[in-house]
Amino acid sequence: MSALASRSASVLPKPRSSAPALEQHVFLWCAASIFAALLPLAQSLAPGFVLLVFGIALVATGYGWRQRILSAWVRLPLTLFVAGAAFYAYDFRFGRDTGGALLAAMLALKLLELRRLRDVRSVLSYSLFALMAAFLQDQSPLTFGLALAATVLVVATLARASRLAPPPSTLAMRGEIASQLQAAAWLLLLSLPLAVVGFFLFPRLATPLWGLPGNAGEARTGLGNEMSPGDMVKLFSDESPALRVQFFGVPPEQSELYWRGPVLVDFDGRKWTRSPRSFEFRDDARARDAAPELVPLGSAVDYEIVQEPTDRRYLVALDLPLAAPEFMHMAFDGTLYAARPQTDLSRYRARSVTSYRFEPNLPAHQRETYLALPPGFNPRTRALVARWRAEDASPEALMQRALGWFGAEFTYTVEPQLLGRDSVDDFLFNTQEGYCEYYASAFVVMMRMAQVPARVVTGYQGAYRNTIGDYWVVRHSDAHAWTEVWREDRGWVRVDPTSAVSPARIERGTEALSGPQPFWGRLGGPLFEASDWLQRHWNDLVLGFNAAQQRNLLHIFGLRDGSARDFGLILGIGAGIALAITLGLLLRAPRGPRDPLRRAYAGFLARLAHAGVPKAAHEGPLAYAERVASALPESAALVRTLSQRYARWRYAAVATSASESAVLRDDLQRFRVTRPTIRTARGST
Amino acid sequence: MSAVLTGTGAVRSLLARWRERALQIAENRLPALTRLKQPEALPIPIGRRRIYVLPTRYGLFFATLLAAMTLGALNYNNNPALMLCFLLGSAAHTSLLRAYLNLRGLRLEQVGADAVHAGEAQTLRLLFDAGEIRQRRDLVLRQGAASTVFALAPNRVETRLVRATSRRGLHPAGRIEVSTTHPLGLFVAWSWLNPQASTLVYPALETQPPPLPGRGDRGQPRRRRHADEEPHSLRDYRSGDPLRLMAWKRTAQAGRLMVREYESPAGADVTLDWAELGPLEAEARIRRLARWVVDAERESLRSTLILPATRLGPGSGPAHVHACLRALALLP
Repeated sequence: MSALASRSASVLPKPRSSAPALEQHVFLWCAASIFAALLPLAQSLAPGFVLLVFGIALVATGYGWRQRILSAWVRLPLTLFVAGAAFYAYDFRFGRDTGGALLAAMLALKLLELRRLRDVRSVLSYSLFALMAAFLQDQSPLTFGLALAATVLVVATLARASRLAPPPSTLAMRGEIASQLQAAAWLLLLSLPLAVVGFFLFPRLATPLWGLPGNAGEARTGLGNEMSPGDMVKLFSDESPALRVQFFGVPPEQSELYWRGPVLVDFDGRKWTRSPRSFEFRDDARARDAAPELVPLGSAVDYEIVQEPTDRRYLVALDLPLAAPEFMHMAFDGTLYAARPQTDLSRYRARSVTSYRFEPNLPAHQRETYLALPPGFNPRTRALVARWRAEDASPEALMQRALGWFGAEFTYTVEPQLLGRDSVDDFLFNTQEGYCEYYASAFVVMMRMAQVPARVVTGYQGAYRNTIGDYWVVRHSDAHAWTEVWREDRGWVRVDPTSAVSPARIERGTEALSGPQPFWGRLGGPLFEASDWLQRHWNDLVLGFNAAQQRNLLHIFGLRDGSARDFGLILGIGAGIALAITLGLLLRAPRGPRDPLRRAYAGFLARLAHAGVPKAAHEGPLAYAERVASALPESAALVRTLSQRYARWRYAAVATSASESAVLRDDLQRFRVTRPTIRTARGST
Repeated sequence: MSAVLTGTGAVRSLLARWRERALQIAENRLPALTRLKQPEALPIPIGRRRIYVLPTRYGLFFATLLAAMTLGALNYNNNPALMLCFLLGSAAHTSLLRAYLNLRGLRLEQVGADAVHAGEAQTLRLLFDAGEIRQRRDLVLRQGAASTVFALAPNRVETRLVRATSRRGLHPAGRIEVSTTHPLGLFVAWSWLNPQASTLVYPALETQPPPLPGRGDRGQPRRRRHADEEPHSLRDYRSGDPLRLMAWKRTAQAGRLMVREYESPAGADVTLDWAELGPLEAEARIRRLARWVVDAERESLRSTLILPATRLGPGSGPAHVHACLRALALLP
């Protein structure tokens, strides 16, 4: 005992100025934590910059392992260089991702300067901050899993760094790592009840105090506010979901699933852009004209959409929504817009009609907008349209001719040739191939030349039905562009030129376009369904929980008002329950010895203690057995033999077989104190 | 610059005085604050009522960081980040509970110290019992400038605290702080122990004493051998031994050269008298007498100590030395 004491007790005179230097093991733990914290953040940064950061981190780890220090003359220019590289990677613009890149760079550089416990603590705290920065960019379950692993590592490193003396037992290196990680994981698990209570019951902000800064780098993939030839090709290869829809009632046919996005009106010869009037909303009191009329002609469809973040203000809805859901506005052209860019998941319920009469009376100056074309472009098309008009001026005939021409002589391809200055001329007369963008653009130009008001509508077409969970997924690859043509007394009519060229695309969705899938592609179908279902539940349960859902949760507990007192009450009760669970787990009596025979002996001792003869700490089994024999004479013989056998097993250098140990264990477990026989008045028994 | 320094020094001393005054007022008003200032009988269990917990500086920094992260996550309604923040906050709270449980149940069983002379470092030995929780780590004992770290893995551990001594006499063990920042270093839990044990510190020894009194002019103690003295040990002859020590009879019996070695020159007595030390002042007398006692023992002489109130001896051996030094140490 004193040997152990002398090993574990060391004199540490601690003057206040200096602190003990860092151990090599602690440095390695630190480096591992920083790598783990950089991983989730690295997912959303520019790849080249990520490589640079990891390279620096590796070099710094090497230096720290050898316990050599890089001179300050090298470190300072390196810092400036890396900061400059961060700005360069994001085009010298400030944004959320620039901040994340700078944070990652500083974390990696800090590895070069770890010398004291204070440095270790600060770098671990900032790596926790880096995890939060990662969540601001990407909230997928993968990021969450990586962040959780990094948290366990950070907590284990904190514990290891705060340790003052080595633990009394002698564990091997690998055993030490495992035990540290296990201890950290157990600590976090103990803390889980209170964390869950806080997550669900801590009052949420209904409106944010300040807005999220935008990203400086590439904007998210998705429909933009403008369309040029070639823009949508990027989207066709993106299979990630853009919307998840749940229909209440009978869903429409695949060919009627047109999802309305931004409507593009102004053409400059190459590019279509939105009208400046887009943000004048129908329910705006200061609207210049009366809102366009929308008359439903068929039954309405109810549905709920969860839209992935787009960083833009539009909200996709089925063509045409009857009214704007809560907190949204409907523009004059029938698209839904929110007040702020959607940087987070949006969930909304809407109601649409698939057959309708939309704006049957078009005011004159708006008519001009929808007929406007830039002068000097596309002369051949103009000549063609003039020729057709001469033959038959009615809009139906013109449309039929154009669509017929498309169907007969044009092909659908997602890799068309490039177009020149007169893009429509090139498309119609030279290349005669393209995809939805080209057809829609050309069709609207032709209609406008024929004095028929027309506009381009972008959005999505079709959906993929996920059998698990029974909902519909609209992917980015379903992006589509079609047209709307204004007819007298009928209002805006949807015309999709792509259906003339490739009807299968509309009937069966984008899958009709790809050839027969290879074996692993067919396997990918169910896998995609399962993973998307998981993602949807992750979105619903974890990501979508906001202030409104918290109010619903409180309703379950019977609190209607949502006042501060109610919040405090429910939070206090929840926290109390969580703390009770935590304390119960913390204060568990330590388990007995692991060996089953020792446990059996411990039970044997417990029974004897219960009978009134507890074993003192200084007594060995045999001495104790003698004491018990004198106190409980009825059980004396049994106790003596059991104690002798146990002492022989435990202390004698005689090997006992497994069967003998098992027999001894059973005997110990079966032992019961013999009650003293009661002498009756009639005589002895 | 120096004016600034003296200014801050004056401010600091003023603040220290105010703090002392405030502490005095508080202790007068709230006697509970002085509850732990009195020495207590051993064993001292560390219970719920005497453990104090506060966040460390790092804990405060961590709290600030976590608050900023939580505010950001609430603002953006970023649920995974919010979950992470709450998990970390809850983990900090659990570490508080762990720090508290690390101290609770600890029991100080025994306190002792080996005797040292004033001016040397004294090793205070404390015996702790672990109580219900067998594994306790990263416990720190502190008293003034001395501190030590210990851990309890088996049930009882004796820890050593080394502290400096300056005066002779009975030293109480004093107030000892036992604290821990286990496991994460975010919170510090501490308790004060004031055991009712005293330790003895011998007087400092004079560094350049005059020779022992009662020695002859030759500077060596007169050695007389009586017939009734106790000789002895018998050992083999080593080259260089004087011939007069040879044991001839034994040599003849054993067949090899044997030498008789005498243990203590009996009859060499030294009298150390307080009154005969001349014009020295009391402390110097004590130091000289202490040194003489130690020297006498080193030279295996029997000594007699005559103090104003007591007379010790004649005797020799560790017990006698201890009694003499103790008497000298406890002189008023």
